[in-house]
Amino acid sequence: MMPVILMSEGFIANGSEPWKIPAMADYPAIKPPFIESCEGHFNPYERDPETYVRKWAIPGKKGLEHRVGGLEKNPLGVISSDPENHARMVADRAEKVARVANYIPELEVHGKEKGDVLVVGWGGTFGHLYTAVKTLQAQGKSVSLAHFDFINPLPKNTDKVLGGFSKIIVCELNSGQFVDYLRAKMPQFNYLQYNKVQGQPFIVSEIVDAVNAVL
Amino acid sequence: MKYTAQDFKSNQEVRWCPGCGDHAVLAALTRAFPEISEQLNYDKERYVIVSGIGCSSRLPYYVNTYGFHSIHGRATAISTGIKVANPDITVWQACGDGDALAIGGNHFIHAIRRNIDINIILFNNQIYGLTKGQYSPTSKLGAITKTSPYGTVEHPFSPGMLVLGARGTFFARSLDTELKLNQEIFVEAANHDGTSVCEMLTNCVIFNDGAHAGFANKEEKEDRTITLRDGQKMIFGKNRNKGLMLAGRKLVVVEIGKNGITETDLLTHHSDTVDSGIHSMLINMKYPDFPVALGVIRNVKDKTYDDNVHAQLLEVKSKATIHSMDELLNSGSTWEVK
Repeated sequence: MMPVILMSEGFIANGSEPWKIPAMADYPAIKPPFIESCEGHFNPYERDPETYVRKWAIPGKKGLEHRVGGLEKNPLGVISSDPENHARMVADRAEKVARVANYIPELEVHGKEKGDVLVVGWGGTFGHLYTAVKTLQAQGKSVSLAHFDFINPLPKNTDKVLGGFSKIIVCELNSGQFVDYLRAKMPQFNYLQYNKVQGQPFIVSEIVDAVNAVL
Repeated sequence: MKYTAQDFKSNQEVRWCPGCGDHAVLAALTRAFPEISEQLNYDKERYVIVSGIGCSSRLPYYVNTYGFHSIHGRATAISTGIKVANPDITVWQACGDGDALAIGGNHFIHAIRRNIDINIILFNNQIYGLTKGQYSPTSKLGAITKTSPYGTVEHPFSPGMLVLGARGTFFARSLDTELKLNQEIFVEAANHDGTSVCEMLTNCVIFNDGAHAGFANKEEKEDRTITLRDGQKMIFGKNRNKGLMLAGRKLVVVEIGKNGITETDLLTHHSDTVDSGIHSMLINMKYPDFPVALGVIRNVKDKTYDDNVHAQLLEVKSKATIHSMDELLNSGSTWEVK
């Protein structure tokens, strides 16, 4: 199992807008990797070699009794305080998260895939960033937007998208948490940043001015 | 019998300190499970043991059933979820006095109030053992510990009174060393519909050795404790010559044969009395004025949360006009922007 953290903010949480009601039939079915039975001993900590996902044995299934918990185990489910096993488990968990990149959408570029400035954002700033970028594009400026829906792991094409622009400006409603993360994950790029920490959303003109200042 | 205690032992090395009271509680539990399976026709896969964090919370690893070693203080929340999601599961919970009464105090009282059909084994050693000897919510007033070098200045909880205060339906108390009694208690807890709280007075040999020694020592135990059994007279003592009577509205210790008192004058234990008056007095008995009460003190019938939830689900479903997520999303005031 893997915890999924859905990040939100006041602007999204308190805002409202008309929403096209989806049809459940259009959504893919969620199929957890349940296991119904197994031959021999059930190893609850064994991972799928492709996804690194473990099986879910729901209490009540015969022959699958096992223990889960915070103490580290070896792949057989035996509690282990072996240092090498710990290193292997940490690496396995990181690899599992990294492989999620194989199943999430690639980063979309709003505008041309190459140009002078790439505006980067995430979360509830999309509307303002999108409008600002559209405004600049209408003025003939070579500006595009990449808005991240997934942060850990980053989409697989992130380096390709970021590499298409002369300048990258990361706009955030904080003092630069995502830009610091990008600097750590993709240090090959130079990041400019525009931050606002007033507990208020961006104003489109602020973004337009910030981009014009670096163009 | 379908199972033996061996069937419920896991392959994990038990990592409690030698002499820790938890070993004996584990032994009683693995002996009780085959009996419970026999009585209630439970297969092994129906058992789930949930724990929080602490020495005693390692217990699920040592029992060959489904087990969750979960989050500090949150075992009750997880137990509740498991039971309500699948009422066929028999849920057991291992937690210490810190885990259940400090960090998880709120979960504990609300589970009892709701009367969720789970069995809580409360390992009460009156100390935080895993974190190396800080005082807990059940440490005695004045206890000298790592975090109270001059003695605590706060009164401890009485777990039994918490159970009664939360309108609990089942409370038992015992000593870690009482293997046979503990086995009986666990079997009775399993047969009880609702939250069963089994307080095990355990000895932490490292950080709180002898916390219960005043009445738990082998030599004095029979004179300083009373084991209550349903329908039986409240008799205790090495010579089985002491007992409990009501004098006015108070319990008194009397000696059989003195002042014309005979066994028939003694109180008879009824764990199923809904009125908690006598149960409260029994829970509050303290050595040296009284024997400490052991056994199933309270066991009364009431509706359980899980039964109520499922009954309500069936009723609401039978009357519902909405039968799918699509219908739900399109109900109420919706419109289309074109």
